Amino acid sequence: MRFIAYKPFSHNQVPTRNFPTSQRTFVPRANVLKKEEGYEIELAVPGFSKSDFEIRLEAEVLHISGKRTGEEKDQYARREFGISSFERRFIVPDTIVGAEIQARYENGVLRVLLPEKKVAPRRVEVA
Amino acid sequence: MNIMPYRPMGMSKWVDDLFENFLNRPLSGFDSREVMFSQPSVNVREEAAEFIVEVAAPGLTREDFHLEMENGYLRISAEKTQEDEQQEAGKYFRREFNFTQFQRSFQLPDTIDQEGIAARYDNGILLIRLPKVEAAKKEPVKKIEIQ
Repeated sequence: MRFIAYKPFSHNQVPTRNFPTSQRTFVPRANVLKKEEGYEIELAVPGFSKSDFEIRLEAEVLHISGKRTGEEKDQYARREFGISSFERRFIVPDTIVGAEIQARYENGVLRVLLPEKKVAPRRVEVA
Repeated sequence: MNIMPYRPMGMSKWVDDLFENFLNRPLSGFDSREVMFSQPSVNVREEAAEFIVEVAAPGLTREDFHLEMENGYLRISAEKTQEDEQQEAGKYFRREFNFTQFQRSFQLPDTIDQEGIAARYDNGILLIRLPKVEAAKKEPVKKIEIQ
C-alpha cells in the first residue's frame, strides 16, 4: 500500500498538437468537466463513426481508443490534421461506477459520462 | 502556349499563397497555447475539378459557421450560439480544446468558381468544396499513339 497524492484525471500524456499529421496514433485533446452526477470527458475526435470507438475501465484507468482502417487520400496541398487511430488513458477516481459509464458521439466530440457513487464523508473524531 | 517543366512536387499558385493571414489570428497577448486550443486545423486538397478544404472543428453545429468571400479571400468563422448550461467555464477540470469562437482566412486563386462554393458539416469536420472554373480544370491524361 502506497500513499499517493490524489490527482484524478492526471496522466503523463500531453498532446503536442491539435490533430495528427500522419498515420501514426495521436493523442486527442480532452476536456474534463465536473458534473452533478460525476465527471464528463469530452474528446475532440472529428471524422470518426460511433463503431470506431472502444472504452474500457481497468482498475482505476479508463482507456478510450478509436480505430481507423479507412484509407486516407494523400494528395494534400496543406495538411494540418489526419484521422488516425488513437488511445488515451485517464486515471479516474475510484468512486466511479464502472457499470454505469455512458458514451455518445456527436459532431466530432466523444462524450464519456462517468457517474460517481455518492459517498458521505466520514468524520473522524479526535479522541 | 508555353511548355513548362513538369514539377511533380510543385504546388499551384494558390498553395503558395495559402499561408494564412496571421493578422486574422487572435493575438491574445501572444499566448500560443490559447491559439492552439481554439484554432482549428485545416487540410487542403487539390483535385482535378476542385479544391477541398477540411476544417477540424468538433463540437459545433451547422448554424455556428459563417463562410464569406471578400476580395478573393475565403473567411471561415464560427461562433457557438448555444453553450450547454452545464458546461460553463467554471466547471472545467481540465481544458485542452475550445472551438467556440475562431476565424481563419485563405487567399483563393482566381480560378475558383465563386458561385459554386458549397460546404457541409459532418462529424466535426467542415468540408468546403471550391470548384474550379471550366478553363482551369485539369484535362485527363491523353495518350499519344506512335505511328
